[in-house]
Amino acid sequence: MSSPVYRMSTNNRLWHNHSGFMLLTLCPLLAVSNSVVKSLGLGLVTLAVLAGSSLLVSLLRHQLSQATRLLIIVMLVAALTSCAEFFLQAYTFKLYQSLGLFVPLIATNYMLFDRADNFASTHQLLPALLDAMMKGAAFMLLLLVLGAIREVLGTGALFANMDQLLPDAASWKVQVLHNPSPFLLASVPAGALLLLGFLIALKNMIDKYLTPVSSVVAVEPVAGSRRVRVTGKIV
Amino acid sequence: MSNAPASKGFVKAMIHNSLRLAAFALGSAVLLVFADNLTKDQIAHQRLESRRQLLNQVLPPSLHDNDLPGAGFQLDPVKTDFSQISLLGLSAPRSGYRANLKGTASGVVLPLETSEGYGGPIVLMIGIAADGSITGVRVVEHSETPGLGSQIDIEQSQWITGFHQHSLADTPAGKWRVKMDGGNFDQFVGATITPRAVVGAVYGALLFFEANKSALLTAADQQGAL
Repeated sequence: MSSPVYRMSTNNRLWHNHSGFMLLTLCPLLAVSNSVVKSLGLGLVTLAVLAGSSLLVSLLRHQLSQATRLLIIVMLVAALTSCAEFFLQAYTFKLYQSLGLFVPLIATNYMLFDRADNFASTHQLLPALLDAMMKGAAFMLLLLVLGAIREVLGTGALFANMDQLLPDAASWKVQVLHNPSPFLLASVPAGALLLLGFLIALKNMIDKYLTPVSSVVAVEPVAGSRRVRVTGKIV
Repeated sequence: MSNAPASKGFVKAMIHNSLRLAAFALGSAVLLVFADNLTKDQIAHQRLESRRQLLNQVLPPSLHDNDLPGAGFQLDPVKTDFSQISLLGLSAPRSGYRANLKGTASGVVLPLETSEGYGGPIVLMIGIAADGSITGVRVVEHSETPGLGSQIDIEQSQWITGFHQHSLADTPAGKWRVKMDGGNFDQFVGATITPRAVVGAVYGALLFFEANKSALLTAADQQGAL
């Protein structure tokens, strides 16, 4: 319960989570992220299932034996996903219809098992919950960025059909581009794959940019020191 | 028998683990039953409401005064009393709906399918008034290319409303085609296959209605009397 654990969770899961960004979560990303409302919907459901499974696994961590741990985690994740599906269907039926098969597929998202198995099963309630929330938030953020870019490029608008998720949000739609023939590639999964590649490249660039700055600062020579000379020129 | 204690421990662990797994399975099952019970009625309500909205789109409330979801009848592509049911292209039994207005049959909503689409089967609903004119068509399921063929969906384009008011009487047989094929109906730029499939399916539904007019409309009267 010490603060380094919190900091580690916040740092490592929200930003430094390459595995999450790269491969484990591709399938729903590509298929569903062509509008903000679908991205937000899938992101929220994933976040809820992730938080719920981490919470349960952390609470029951002393009941899990080595041999049965993974089996039980799979079962819990599947059960929670089904519950989430029930509620999504009951209260946001239109959104459920447009997300279709990808809601049950949340149960196959490796990220959920990874968090429950590698973190929640060995940590107390609050750290486990925070860890899950951060990981879920990172996933949702990525989905939202993809969804927003794809919606603007693919349809020219933003926040269309938001009332599928929030009843009062029917008027949120903003026409961003007034182009009669939108950029269709953005709407199809192939476009999502390309865009995801660009986003990963961008993230790597930011990481690369951040790292040298801190190391340069660390070795900066003291002002006035003349110990370091690269060329023969003497100031 | 030196391994007797070890195997005893093994059996014990096996029993423990089985019981543990069984307990968690029971817990998960209880959770699911609980969630199902909590949401069952709301889900049924949502399904019915969504169906009613769809039916009211293809057959406007001004043309019927009965509750359409409650006036369903089965259209089975194999076992049926209707003639030429293959015109609807159904791959599985689906429901049609009869409409009444002031005690007389005012129209019918028919399901139809076509496998001529670009990305797979397209499922539609069509509303036909008693005089044989189309009151509305909507796509229920499709997997056409986003932005191209997907414009048959009312959420993306108004194209599908182009069928309204048309009937076999006002559009001759040879004109139930897309313009590219010499017919009366628009295709999309970059997508001809999808609209061609939909126009063909709609034409098939009108022919089916014509062939079964008395059965479809008389039965509606009987249902109204019940």
